[in-house]
Amino acid sequence: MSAIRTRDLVKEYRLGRDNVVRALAGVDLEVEAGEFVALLGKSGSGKSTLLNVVGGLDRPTAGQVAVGGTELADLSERDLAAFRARTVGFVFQSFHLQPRYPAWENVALPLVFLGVGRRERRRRAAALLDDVGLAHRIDHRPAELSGGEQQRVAFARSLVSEPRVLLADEPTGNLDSETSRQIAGLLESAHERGATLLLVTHDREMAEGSADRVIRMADGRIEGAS
Amino acid sequence: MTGRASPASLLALAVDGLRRKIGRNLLTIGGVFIGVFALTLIVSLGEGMTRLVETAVSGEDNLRQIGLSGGLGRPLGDESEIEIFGEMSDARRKRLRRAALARTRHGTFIGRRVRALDAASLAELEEIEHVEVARPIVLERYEMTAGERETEATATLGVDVRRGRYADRVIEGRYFTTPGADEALIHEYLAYQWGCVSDEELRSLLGIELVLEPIRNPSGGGFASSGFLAEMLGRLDLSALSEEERQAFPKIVEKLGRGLFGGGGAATVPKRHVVTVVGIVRELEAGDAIRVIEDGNASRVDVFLPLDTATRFFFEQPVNREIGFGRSYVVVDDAEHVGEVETELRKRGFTAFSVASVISRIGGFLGALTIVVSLLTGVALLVAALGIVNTMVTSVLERTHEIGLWKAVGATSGQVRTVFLLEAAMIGLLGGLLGLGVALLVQIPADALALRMISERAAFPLQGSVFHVPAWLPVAGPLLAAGIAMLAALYPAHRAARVDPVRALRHE
Repeated sequence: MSAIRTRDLVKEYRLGRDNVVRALAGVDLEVEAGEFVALLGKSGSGKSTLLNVVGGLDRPTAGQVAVGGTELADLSERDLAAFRARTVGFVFQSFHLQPRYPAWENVALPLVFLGVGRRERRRRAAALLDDVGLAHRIDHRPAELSGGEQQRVAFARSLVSEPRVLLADEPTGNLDSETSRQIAGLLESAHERGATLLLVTHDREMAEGSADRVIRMADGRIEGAS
Repeated sequence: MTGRASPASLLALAVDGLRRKIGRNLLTIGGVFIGVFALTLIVSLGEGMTRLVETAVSGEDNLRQIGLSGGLGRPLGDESEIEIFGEMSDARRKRLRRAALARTRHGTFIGRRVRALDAASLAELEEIEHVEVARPIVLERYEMTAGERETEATATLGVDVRRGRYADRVIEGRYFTTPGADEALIHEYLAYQWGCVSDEELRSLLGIELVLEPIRNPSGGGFASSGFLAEMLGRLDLSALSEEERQAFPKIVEKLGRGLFGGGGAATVPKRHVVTVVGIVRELEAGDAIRVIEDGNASRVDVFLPLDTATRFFFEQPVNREIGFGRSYVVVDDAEHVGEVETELRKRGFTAFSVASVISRIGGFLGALTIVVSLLTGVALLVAALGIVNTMVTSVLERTHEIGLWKAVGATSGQVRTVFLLEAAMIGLLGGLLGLGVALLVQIPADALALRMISERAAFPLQGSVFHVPAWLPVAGPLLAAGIAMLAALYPAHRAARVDPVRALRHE
């Protein structure tokens, strides 16, 4: 069974009365469970939109999208929230960490909405921060961390609810090459542990070096794969 | 599949939100504080005043008593009995007669006094259903001699011996032996004026004889030169009397003058009364049972006589036999029947008033006042609510990105809404608790101050508090504030719940 499957996926944004932007123009995509797929393409090609729709952050205008066998169109708003909490993990280019929270609370944020108690949240967050090499930074706030460390915290957060699918949107876009390699290593490590990965990136070298398959997108469509 | 966040987790997020803009939130809390502070004070004051009045006057006997005022004996209510003098049109005469009738019916103190209170009418009163006893209030002034001591215009009061009145206030000697005994109790203040301070000196007064004589006019002339009566009569407002009453008034006063001051005639020879002091009565203390109607004029009484004795002395004055008692009261078998008896008394032409009806009027007034002021307090809470709306909307706008992240990692719209409602509830609760706490603290000095001011002016010693916090208020006040705050936060919380995570995260 495919981990991710889209059929004729369309996403349009209405900008003003007569201006409709078609971000996805009929995307058919299949990602097998445990597969690491990279989406390459220029800005505006629809990569991030595809990631948001697959991750349940956005609903498609038309077409179908199923993740782990669950058809997202059938989910209520509440169930879609639960899907985001349990089934997928996001890694964003801008990290999106809460400046007031220490590292462990940022990592454990998804668990708050799953009803996990504070002590268990801290235990799980500590274990993940240890995995990404930040055990010594557990109580540090984002402002006290480097860019690479912040992205590692964000990466740990994406894994805290043990999702089957990891969605990474330009995770190295704001990082230098050395730090990017560290993040790529973390992604590969997650892949090796069985996670399905969909990575959006501009970095051809990273995509071809880490992913099982590279898909190129342009103008809201899949142009080819390698 | 659906996760359920624990309330504690969402509460922690709400607390964190509150701590973000502490100054702004404190100002918002201040708005709620003012509302609940005022509400607590107003409700407590209303409750306290009502209880204070009720505690002071609503003893078992008070609620069963109805007071009556003696009148001139002319029934009112018939328009044709009122004569309008002077030349005028019939239409005008009719209008003036109606106006005169209206004025005698309502609001005029003397005009409402109709039936005379004498032995016959008191007997009639006792025949009315539910009336247990009818007693006169015999409050008289005498010139008094006790050995070498002389006192002018000593106030005496008839005490209902059958009901053991004032027995609990005897601090030296004993109580009366019979309702008609020639005995007297004297007030401890009179004893003090006589220079008797120690217990031994007080005891030395027991057994002495008091000679009571009706007050004479020092000059031997009419009442006008008698300081006491002239002063009292001079204060009367005769404008409320009908022409007929005004014409009758000098005759009554003339009789009064002859009766009290010996203005000529064999019937006016005053009689001396001799009574023996058997005990000393102390002044009222807080906690004493006060019969408002019976004791209304007793605060300046120096000498207490058995009621039958006082009545006998009273009727030995010819004028008193003619005009009857100034006041009397009836005791009803049950407080529930007071209204019914009061109506019956008025129907029979008596001027009647009961403590129950006065309490009811006071309670109604205080209740209405409390409602009006509470509504004003409600305005303060409404303003506080608008402050909460403003604060929460601003908070949602400032935290849009954060809300987007919450939703991206799995928060439902309901959870987001709950966080903001909890945040508002805490603003309300904190403001409410603060308002309640400060109001309770302020009540301590305010209560002492208000009670002192009231006690200085009240005829009876009061005990209790001017403020009384009803049991429901400490719970309802803060909860009301929290409820209002949550209502105010419904719109901002709804906006927060509708945040689109994709847009929110894009616009960091």
